[in-house]
Amino acid sequence: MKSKIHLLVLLWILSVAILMSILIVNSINFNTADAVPVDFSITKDINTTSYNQDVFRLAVSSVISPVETVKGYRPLIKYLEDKLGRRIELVQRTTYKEVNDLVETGEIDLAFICTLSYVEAEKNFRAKLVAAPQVQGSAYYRSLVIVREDSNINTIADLQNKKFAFTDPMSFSGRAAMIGELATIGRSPEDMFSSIIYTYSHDNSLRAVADGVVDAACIDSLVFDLTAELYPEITNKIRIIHTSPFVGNPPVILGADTSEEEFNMIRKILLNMHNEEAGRRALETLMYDKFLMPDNDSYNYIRSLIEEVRIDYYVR
Amino acid sequence: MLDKLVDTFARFSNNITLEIKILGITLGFIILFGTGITFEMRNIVYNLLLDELDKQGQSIASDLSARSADLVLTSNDFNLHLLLRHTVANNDAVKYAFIINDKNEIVGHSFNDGFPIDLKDIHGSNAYEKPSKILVESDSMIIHDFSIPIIDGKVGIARVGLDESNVNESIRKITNTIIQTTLVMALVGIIAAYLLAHLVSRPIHSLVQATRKFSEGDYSQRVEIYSNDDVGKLGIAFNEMGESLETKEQENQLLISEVEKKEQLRRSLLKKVMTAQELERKRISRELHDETGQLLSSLMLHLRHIKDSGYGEDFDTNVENMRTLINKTITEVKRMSYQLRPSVLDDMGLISAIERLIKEYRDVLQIEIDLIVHGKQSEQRMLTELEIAIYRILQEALTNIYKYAHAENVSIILTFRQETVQLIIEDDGVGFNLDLHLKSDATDNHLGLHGMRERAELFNGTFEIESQKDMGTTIYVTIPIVYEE
Repeated sequence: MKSKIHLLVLLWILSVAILMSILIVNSINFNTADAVPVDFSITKDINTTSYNQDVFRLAVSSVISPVETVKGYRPLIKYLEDKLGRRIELVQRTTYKEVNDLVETGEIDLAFICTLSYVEAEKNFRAKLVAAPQVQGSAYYRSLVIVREDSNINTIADLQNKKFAFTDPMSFSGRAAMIGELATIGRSPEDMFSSIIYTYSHDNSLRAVADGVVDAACIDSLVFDLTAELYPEITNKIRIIHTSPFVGNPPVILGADTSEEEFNMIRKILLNMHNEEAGRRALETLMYDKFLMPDNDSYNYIRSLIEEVRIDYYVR
Repeated sequence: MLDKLVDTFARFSNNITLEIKILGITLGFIILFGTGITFEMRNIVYNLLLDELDKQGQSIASDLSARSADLVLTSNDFNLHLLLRHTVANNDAVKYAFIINDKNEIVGHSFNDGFPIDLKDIHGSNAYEKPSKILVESDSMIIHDFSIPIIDGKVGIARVGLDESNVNESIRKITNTIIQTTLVMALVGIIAAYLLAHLVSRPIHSLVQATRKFSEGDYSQRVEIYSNDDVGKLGIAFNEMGESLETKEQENQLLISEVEKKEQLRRSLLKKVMTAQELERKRISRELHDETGQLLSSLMLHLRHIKDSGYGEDFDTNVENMRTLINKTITEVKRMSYQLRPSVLDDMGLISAIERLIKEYRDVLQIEIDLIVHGKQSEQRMLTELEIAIYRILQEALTNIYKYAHAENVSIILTFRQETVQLIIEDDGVGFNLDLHLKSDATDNHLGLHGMRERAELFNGTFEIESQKDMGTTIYVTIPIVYEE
């Protein structure tokens, strides 16, 4: 009897011990990281627009999307930093117009912009043409009208009441060229298309067509070629139904206030890039052969276009 | 040590009623269970929810990182601000969100009252290379701060802070639910335990009460049997015990009254013995005085006459007279001696003594008395006292027949068996009502029967009597034979 009670008491004590150990094991917090105390009341106004005189500011219009731009221009920036001996800040804006405005006010030292943007900049504030790239042996490019491979659109006329994508209001290949084509048949985008969207970069327009968001778009032939090389699965879904006349490749410009000395230095650096190993690597990343002395007349088609057709840059 | 523990527990529980014990066990178990489950569930759910929170935070921060890249690169501050605002607004847990650019500058944040400067650099310099998570403590609130590089850190860092308010709210709900359930369980348990305790203790209480009654001598008390379990079995056993105790008590009462009756009888017998003794002495004294004394006085007179007259012609006559007197005296003494104790029993044995007794009564009563002896008496003589007992029982029976029965025939059968001797005395007299006779008090009138029984029982024998009015009487006496040493 007594030994039975002993056994029961022992069993009970054992079960309590098991229970306790289970509780302890389950209550151990494995997130043992200590919290960092932060006083949220100590605040500071953030001002990121502080202008640093020592920094060389390089703007790139959003021909391709900002993220792709960062990847593509990184080696070029590195090269220029080495050559200029100054830190270079890459500036991007959503629209071409914004970049032009920055060049005009002198906040930007060097800009890679679109052809139409240049024509406007030259006309409005005498921007200086520094150089233009040669891409796959050509100094020219054009606008392509693209549709999906499985689309039944074959001509400009088929675009009636379709959804169309422009890239930027101030883009030649992404907008102005199309407006020009429509003008020849006496139409305007607003009455031709059922709806118009702005994608603010050529690769976005490409994707919009490939994904069926829009029925057609006009884009830069350089971007198309680049994408065909990098992402053939996208361009395979695309069919080109129309091309514009060739114009000179998008140029590199400087503000009107740039000194002659700086202008020459930068032009020299750019034109000689392909003669150096580091320069070649930077050019290869952008798929450029080299920088050429620009031919200002190669943009004449655009100049005549904006003479004939009024293009509103303030649409969104 | 174990003994001590058991003892302490036993001492502690000794003074508590069964109800409280059962209630205590039930409540204790429920509370232990509830507490354990609450504790466990809190921990498990807390850890699970923290894991979820981490996943959620990482997901939100990654999303913010992907969506902010273009906005940061194009310095689209307003859309960035909208993105940050939406990120905070679309999830309760998100307390803040902000973006650091590649120059380690804040380009946008969701704080209304300015950016807390201490928050910016807590992830260290690795934040541009890989995602990380740090716990931030502010105003006793723990915030999980997630840092995800934008485009591999080339553009900047997206930061999101999630607090544990949702987690704590879930924990609170779970805890409340479990506590509520535990309380209801406790209530159900208390009622069930009370019911159980009542069911268990009710038969025990009635057993206790019945036992008290038993102590007071009331054996008629029985308990109600409620169940077939251990306690029920105890109740059944108790009732059986009560049954047998009651029977025993009745037997005891019977025995006591019998003993009392016997005691009364014994006293009467003793009294009778003493009276009989005195009567016998009186008779012997009178007989000695009247008979033997007279004869001896007469002899004295004869002797003086012979002395006075001397040798004369009367001498021979006188001597002859004296001889006659002496003879008479001797006869008288012999008679007295025989009456005191018949020497024939000692000299000739039981059967001869009985035969002689029968002859005497036959002569006196002038009735037919038969004696039949069955079996053979052993060579060895029976104990004298046993022989006397049989002799006296027969004598008493014959005296009763003589006094009351008015019988015409008496039959006596004496049977010797291996172990016992049986005596049957049968008459065809008037008989009597046996029940009435035995139930009446043991007065002198009935001492004859009781005396016979006493004598038989003295030798572990039995005495039975059958009688009915006008149907005669039969007496059966059986006594185990005891031999002389």
